[in-house]
Formats: sequence, C-alpha cells, structure tokens
Amino acid sequence: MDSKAVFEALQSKFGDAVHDLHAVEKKDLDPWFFVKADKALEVCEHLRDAPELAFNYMECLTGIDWPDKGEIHVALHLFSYTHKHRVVVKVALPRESPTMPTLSGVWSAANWQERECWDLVGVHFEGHPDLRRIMLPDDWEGHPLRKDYKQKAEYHGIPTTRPNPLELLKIKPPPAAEKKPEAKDAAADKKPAAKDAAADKKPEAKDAAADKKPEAKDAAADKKPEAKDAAADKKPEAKEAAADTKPESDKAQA
Amino acid sequence: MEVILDNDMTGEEMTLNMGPHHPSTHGVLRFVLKTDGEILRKATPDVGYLHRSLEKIAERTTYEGFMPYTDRIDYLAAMFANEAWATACERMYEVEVPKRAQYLRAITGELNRIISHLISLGCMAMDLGAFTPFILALREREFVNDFIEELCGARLTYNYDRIGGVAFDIPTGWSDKVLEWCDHFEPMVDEFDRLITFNDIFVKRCANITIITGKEAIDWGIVGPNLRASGIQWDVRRDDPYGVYPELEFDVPIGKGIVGTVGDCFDRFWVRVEEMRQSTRIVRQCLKKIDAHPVNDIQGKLPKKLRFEGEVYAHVESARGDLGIYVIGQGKDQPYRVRIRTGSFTSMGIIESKSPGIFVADLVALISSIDVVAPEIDR
Repeated sequence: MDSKAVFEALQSKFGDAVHDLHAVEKKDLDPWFFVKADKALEVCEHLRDAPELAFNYMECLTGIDWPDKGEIHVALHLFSYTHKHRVVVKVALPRESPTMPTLSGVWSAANWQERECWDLVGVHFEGHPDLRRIMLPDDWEGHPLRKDYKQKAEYHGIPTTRPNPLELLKIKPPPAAEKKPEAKDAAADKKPAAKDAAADKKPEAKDAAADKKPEAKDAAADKKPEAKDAAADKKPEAKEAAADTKPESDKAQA
Repeated sequence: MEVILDNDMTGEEMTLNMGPHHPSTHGVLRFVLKTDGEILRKATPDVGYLHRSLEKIAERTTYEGFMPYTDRIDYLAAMFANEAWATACERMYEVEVPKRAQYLRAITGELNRIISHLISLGCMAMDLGAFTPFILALREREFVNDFIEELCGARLTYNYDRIGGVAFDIPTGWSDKVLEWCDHFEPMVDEFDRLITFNDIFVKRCANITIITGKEAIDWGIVGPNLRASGIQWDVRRDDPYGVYPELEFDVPIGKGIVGTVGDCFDRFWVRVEEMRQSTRIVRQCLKKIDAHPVNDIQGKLPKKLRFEGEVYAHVESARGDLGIYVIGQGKDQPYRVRIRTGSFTSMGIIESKSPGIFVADLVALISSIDVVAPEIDR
C-alpha cells in the first residue's frame, strides 16, 4: 500500500483528523500527511492494528522546530514488516506548548525516542511512563535542537566555549625587524648575518661584533659588492668574513 | 531447609552503580542496578555520556562537510554511516553512482561488518570470562584494518564515501591480498566456532538467557543481527535493497535456537558468526565482478551547489542494524534538520524491561550480546 492509499483509508475512518497529504513527485522521497494531535493516539493504534496496514515497526521519531510557522512537528516513520510498506506521519503542535499523547503504549520503541525528543526539542508527551532527559544532564536548561536555542556560557563552572587556540599560538613579529636606524638596504642585509656569525662563535665575539658594527656599516656604505653578496647569499662565507674581522677586533681589544 | 524457607528472603534492596567506566559496558555507559543479592530487580540505563550533538552540528555544516562527522556516529563501523549519509544525499540530488563505486561501497562495507562483528564477538567472549577469543578476533581485525588503511588512509574513521561515489579506487594488488585473506579467514571462523561458539562453558552462560521474542523485538524497534536472532527474516540489504546488493548472492542467517531458545544470547552471538561468513562471500563476489567496470570511474556527477529543498529518509544495513538518516533541507547550503536513527539506541531501550529477575552476570551477557556501542547510542 502506498502512502496515498494509507492516507485515504485513514481519512475515510477519521475524517478531518487526517489532513494535508503532501505528495512528492521525485521517486525516492517519501510523501507525508498530518494527523491532529488529539487524535494521534487513536490513529496510531489503528495504523498498528488494522490488518491491511499493520505498521508494527516504528523506525524513527523526530521533532522538528519551525519558528516561522510557530509550530513544532513530530515526524513518525512507520514501517510494516508484514506488508513491507512505509508511511510518514506528522503531528503539528503549537510552539508555545507542544504537547501530544505518548505513543509508547502503541510501540515500545517510542519510549526512548520520545525521551530524546523531549530532551532535545522539548515536546511534552503526556502519559509517558518515564519522561526524563536522556542525553543531557537532568538540570540542563533549554532544548538545544530548537532553532532559537542560545548556549549558556558555562555549566556548573565548566565553560562551554574555549579560547581560539590560534590566538594562544599567535606568532609575535620579531623585534629585530623594527630596528632600522639607517634605512640602508645593504646595512639591513649585513646586520643579521654578522650577528648570526658572531652568535655561532665565542661569546666575546658578540661584543666584538657589536663594536664592529659601525665599521661594518661603513663598509656597507662603501658598498663593497663581494661583502654584500657574502652576507646575503652564503652564510658560511659570511661566517668566514666574520672570522676575518676577528683578528682586527682582537687587535682593537689589545 | 525449613529454617531457610521460614526466613522470608526479604533482604534489603541494594542500589549498585555499574559504570560509566565498567569494562564490560562497551564504552561510557552507566547502569543503576537495584539488586536483591545476585538477582536484579531492575537495571536502569543512563546514557548520554558521549553525546556530541551531531544533529546540531549537521545544521551548521554543509552537506559534503558532514561526511567526516558521520564517522563518529559509530567508530567501529564508520563505513555504514558514511554510506547512509551519502545515500541520503544522493536521493536528494538524484545522483547516479557509478557501478564501480557501488561495488567498492559493498566491499568496504562488508569488510567493515566483519571487523565490527569480530570486536563484538571477542568482547562478548571476554565479558563472559574467555580472554583468548578476543586476541584471536583482534588479530584478524588487524588484517582488515591494514586493507582499509591502504585503501583510504584511515583505520577507524574512514571518511571513505563521497556524495555520488567513493574517494579512492583500489590500489594495485589489493584485490589479491583481500582474496588471500578471505581464504585464510574462512577456516579461522571455523576455528573460532571450535574455540568459543560451541564451547560448553560459553554455551551454558548464553543459552536461554534473556530471550527476546520476535514480537518484542519488533515492538521495541530492535534491528539488525539482534532482530534476526529473534527469528525475524529481515535484512535491509535484501528486503529494501540499495547499491549492488540485488546482484549478489548471500543468505540471511536467523536465530534457530540451536542450543537454547530462539532469541537468547547465544543466538545473537551465533547470528554474527554466520554473518561474517556471508560477508566474506559477498566480498569474494564483489571482487570478481568489480573488474568489469572501468577503473577510476568512481564519482558520479553532482550539481555545482549542493542545495536541497524537501525531505528524505535513507537507511542502510549497518553492523548494528538499520541505520537511518532523515534529512530536511530548506534550499540552503546547510541541512535544516538531520536525524540519525541508530540500532544501538533502540536496542538499549529494551534492557530495562528485560532486566527484572536475571542475574547481574547475565546482564553483562545481555549488554554484550546486543552489541551496543556508546557513541552510537548518544550521537
């Protein structure tokens, strides 16, 4: 039996309580129709018990929040192992007080699924044997799958958000890049290289290099092409260059 | 004797906490037990410790972007959640999936079913006190993990399926390796039977324990191997076919009550052992048939923007039964609402009603025999 036939069979029995068949043209999508909330229990019992329908398996119970329509829909996917047919039944409930009778007496499978629906969407199932929250803690506030749900900043002192780890790992700009006493390209090229070279060498060489700096600048100002190349391109050579300058600095110390 | 009978055994009811970290609860699960000595008055499951609100996350990601999240629905059988999500999206956009991709889905799915059942069976044996079968099962699982790793780079969260196809084609020499393993694995299942399935002690722990009748199983929405163990002939692969399953030959084993009653713990165990044999059979057939389809033709044509208006429900036969995904779209990049219906969630519901009157040790058998996986319950 396809959904249309089920719909007609139900309508002939329950009249207006079953309404709005939503036919779908695409082959794989399931048509659905609405059942009024106050008749839902009777209709579902009929769906299960009538021999030509025999929907004995409740596959899926979903709560869907529609703030623009002001409604919450509960969608039931029902299946029959006997006849191998499926039907989708929806119940529209007002958003302010979504209440419908429990179906856990019809299909036991509805028991936990209704609890989940209550927990996450906030539909109240009247007469449910154990309507407690199932996923979230008992003292949680709000129903997260509602569209207007706002997450609280913390739960019992546990923050629900965390700082962006990228902020913590943000790379600070190197301080050397800011120091530019004389805006000479050559000098800027030369300086870090000389420093590196000095750092690789003995600690006192650093001082020497610091002493040396003005000279190096002068050298750069003189624009000796081979010194520039050495500093910019080839570190080992730059080191050598630094090593070359060492005897001079030693002399200076002496 | 009379003295004992005169003393009415109305001892105090004790409330016991089992979990959330009890080793036999298969993940972070908690039971509150009311016991009278060794006998349970009631066991109340308390779930939700692994709730990660996947349904809410789905409302914020794109259709393609949700695929890696589906791995996390059931980490022991991620392939099926991938497949269910892909199937749901393909129905929306009416995408034609190339045959080769469908075969690849069937192969990876069945391999995944085997290793998921291996974990389930090994854990059940371990919960009931036999450690060796677990090692044996994990050894076999390791081979398949390697195959899947070679195929898609991951061992647990595969993210292998794509909307309209699969991510990678099989590497050179892969089929031969898998076939070789199949030859090795089938005798190993027989060995497994000799080692544990028909082991006297094990049978005594399982036979006639917590029987779930066919009627109860349907009423509680129990699916997959647990439903079949209760004697119901139902398998989504055969009865509501998808992919290439109509072209394949396989049997659907159902519980027969070989050593006890239909629907007891032993049947749930035995059905899974048989399913591993059938899955091996399917893998062999698929590997034979896949060569007829052009290499690297594994991705169907998709519309440029994945936007959808309407609703669709798709389900596949996962290792834990009917895994359904219900998607509502509103013409945006993100789905409006996604609902994931899993086998473990509905199976857990029955434990409370089955618990009165059984031993605490039998509860362990019940939990492991219905093979629940905590993240699949909580999602």
